[in-house]
Amino acid sequence: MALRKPLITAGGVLFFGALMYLGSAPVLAADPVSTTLPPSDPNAACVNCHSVNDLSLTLSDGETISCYVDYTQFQASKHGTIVACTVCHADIAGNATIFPHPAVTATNIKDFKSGLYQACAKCHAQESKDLQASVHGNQTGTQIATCGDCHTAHDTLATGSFQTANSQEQTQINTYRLQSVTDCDKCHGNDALMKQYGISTNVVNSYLQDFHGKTTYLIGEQAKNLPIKTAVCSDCHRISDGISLTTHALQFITPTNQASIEQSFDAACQQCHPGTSASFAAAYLSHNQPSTTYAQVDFWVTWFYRLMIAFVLIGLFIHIGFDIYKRRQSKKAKEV
Amino acid sequence: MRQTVAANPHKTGDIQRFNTRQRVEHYILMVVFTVLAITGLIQRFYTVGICQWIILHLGGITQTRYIHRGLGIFFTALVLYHLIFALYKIFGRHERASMVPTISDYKGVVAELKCNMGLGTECPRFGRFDYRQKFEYFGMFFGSIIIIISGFILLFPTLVTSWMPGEAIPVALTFHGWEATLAVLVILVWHIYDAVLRPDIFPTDKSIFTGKISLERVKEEHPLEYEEITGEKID
Repeated sequence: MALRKPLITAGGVLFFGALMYLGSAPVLAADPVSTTLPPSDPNAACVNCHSVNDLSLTLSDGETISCYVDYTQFQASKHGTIVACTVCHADIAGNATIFPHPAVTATNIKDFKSGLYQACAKCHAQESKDLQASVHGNQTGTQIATCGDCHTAHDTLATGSFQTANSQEQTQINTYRLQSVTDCDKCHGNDALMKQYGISTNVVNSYLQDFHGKTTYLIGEQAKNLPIKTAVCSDCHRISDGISLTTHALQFITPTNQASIEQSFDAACQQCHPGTSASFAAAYLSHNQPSTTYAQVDFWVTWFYRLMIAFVLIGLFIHIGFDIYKRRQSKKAKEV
Repeated sequence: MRQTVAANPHKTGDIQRFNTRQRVEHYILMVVFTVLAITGLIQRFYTVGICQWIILHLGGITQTRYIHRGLGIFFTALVLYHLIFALYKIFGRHERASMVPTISDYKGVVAELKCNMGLGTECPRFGRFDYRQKFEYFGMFFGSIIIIISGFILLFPTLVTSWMPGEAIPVALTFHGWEATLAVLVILVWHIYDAVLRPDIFPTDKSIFTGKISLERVKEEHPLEYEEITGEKID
């Protein structure tokens, strides 16, 4: 409901802006989207330019950002029918009649992102607050993860439980849950980036070797919109922000918060496996590989079998070799 | 089966090696082992193209797991049946435990290798089951115990972790996967050679399917058994 007022204002401003644009911008008249988009669409003026595929912006630090928006996809997104472009791109809202719109002032990607995602806070106050205080939103390195890195800027899908009554929303949730692992991997699988924070890049790989990861991957291979009724990253990686367990509030483990984070993990297991003990959570090797110092039993069992298999196979091949040899010899002897 | 020989004074032709129960058990085990091995290994190596193809054509990972678990429970029942029946035969009916390895089997390994290399003067002679068959049988038996225990830990992780440390789950998975890999390799390498590809029995050793074996083969491959059932000394 809070959305309605800025929406109407923005829509109204854009409507007239759009009329002016359409009358005065013959260069763009051939664009396929602009011809099908009725001038009554509040976003028409924006889409006229931003539906051009290779439209991009280079920041002064050399980073290039694509300015292309797939408007059909945006319309199908969670925000598509209720949030106009200028609700989030508020710096442009007041200047919509000016073409070109004011230049982007951010000089690097980190500033660009953190500036832009202030807009999310207008509606998603708690989530934004959690994120800004979290390890993802409050980083000293060259990068931060903001709303759009996980939810995307324009193709935002419904999130939530893997079981909802609304079938259209369910499809979005299924898709989102599946792609969320890839989203995490974008940064957590990037060696150069993770080195800055001293984090292992093996997290997604080790997830995919595990029961939950296999399930997620194979369901995704089966069909893109099946319910992922198994844990994805964010199902376990969620901690309390004082109100609920949320992925937005994630923190690095420190001696002071360790106990409460471990409690959150136990609680995370119980979302799907009710009645489990704390040792159930310990069944997961926390993305670590067994070694001589960690999960030793697992490590030595593996080596026992490697040696055992080598020993047995060598023995069997020796037997097969001798057996064939012996049979040939006795066959020869018989022939003689 | 001993009676068959007694009724065959000519010491030629076929004698009964396996009864119907044993043959049916082998048929069932053959199918169950193959399906369990396939549905299990495709989960272990699911990133390989062919494995994924099979999983998806079985109806997806959930269905694949149900098939594997269901058959796993059936396999457990089969192993328990075999164990109880074997114990009953040995202790109830006082039949000879011809599958149990003896000291002579361990000597047999060395003697056989020496003989094959032309080092030994005397080649070992085997009874009803030679050491290779006993190795396979006990490998299969103890492998099954490991597979079954680890399988049940994996099937009931919530229950198991209520009284065992969490690490039991990944360790059980390691045991389960590697034991299965070992079993499949032994079957593929040895059993398929010994019972299918071996030149003198190719295309297959039929005795486990027909139950019959020729006396000539018994004389050659199981000379001690031959002597025992015919009462005739070989050389």
